Amino acid sequence: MTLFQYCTVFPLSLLAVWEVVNCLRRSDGRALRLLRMVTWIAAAVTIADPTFVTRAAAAAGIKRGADLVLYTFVLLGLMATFYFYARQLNLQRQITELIRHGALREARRGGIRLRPGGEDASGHSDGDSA
Amino acid sequence: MSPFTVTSMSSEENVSQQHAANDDVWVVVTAYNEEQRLGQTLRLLCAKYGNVVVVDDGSNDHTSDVAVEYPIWLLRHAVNCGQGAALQTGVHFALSRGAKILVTFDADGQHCADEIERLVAPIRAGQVDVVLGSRFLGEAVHMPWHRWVVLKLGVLFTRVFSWIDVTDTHNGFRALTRRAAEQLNIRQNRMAHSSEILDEIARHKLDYCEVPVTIRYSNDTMIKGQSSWNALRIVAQMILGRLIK
Repeated sequence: MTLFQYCTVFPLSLLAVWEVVNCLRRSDGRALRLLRMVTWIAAAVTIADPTFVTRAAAAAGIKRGADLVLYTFVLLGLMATFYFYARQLNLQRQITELIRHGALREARRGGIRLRPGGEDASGHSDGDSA
Repeated sequence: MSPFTVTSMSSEENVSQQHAANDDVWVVVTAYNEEQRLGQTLRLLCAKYGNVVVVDDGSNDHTSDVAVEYPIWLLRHAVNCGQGAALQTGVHFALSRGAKILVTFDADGQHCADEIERLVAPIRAGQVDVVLGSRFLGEAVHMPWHRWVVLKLGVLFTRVFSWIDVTDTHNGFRALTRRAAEQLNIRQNRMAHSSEILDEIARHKLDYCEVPVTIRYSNDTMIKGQSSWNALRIVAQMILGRLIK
């Protein structure tokens, strides 16, 4: 193994172990932790064994390992876009509910300046022009 | 002088009689930067309907100041959320005040207040839950040809996407029973809410019919209104909105 491999594989492995421990300890956000764990392991394996991606690409029917990495990133990018759009939409709905709540609480009746005789609060009568 | 004034006792009695006759109807008007046209719309509405709700959707101009001159209920969104969100706010308020029939009406003067009577007639007769105004059964005054094309494509999309047979999909002039309004949950904040309402009508299997109405286009409404290209965004919002619950 090269110096670069030593410097990167070890921290990545630690990160993967950290995710496993967190996954076992806490039940919330498990899907996201699993995704991160897979990412760290994949990165560690790819660096530790540079021919791994090429062999995986060949097994998947893709010629070059670089193409496999590119396709994977494109798909992950699309998934991330959809995920963040969904988060943004849900946040927008929550903000809308908040704004609606405020609007409903502060509803007011218009036309209050009118008096029974057709005179507004400023003292102008009906015959006055606007 | 307030713009909504009663000039004589007979007019006052006439207005009171009209309001009493239409006491079951609540008109929901959504407005965003409509200070120029809202006054005229409310003047015509308030002459006949005592229950008018104006939802100012975070306008930057004096829309609220104009609205509050009239005997209406004014609700104000602190920031602009979109017509769909404003409509849901207005519907929510009207229901909380005991509305039996709800009418959605545009603030920009495109709709005709005299046609509300015709719109609510099938509901009062107990025939349907929802009445949809249709400019293609009625009249679309000064409608540009490109808008005609986009609206017709919208009809096609709605028939495929929502499985509902209508002649006009993005018409904001509609009437709902209380039962229908309670079932509709408008989650599309922006312009896709019109398609969503049709979607909800189909999903809840509500009885509906279409009534001919007149829509008047002017330079003002065309400048301020949505672009025809916005139709693509509406389609995307509808599809994504259905995926993201």
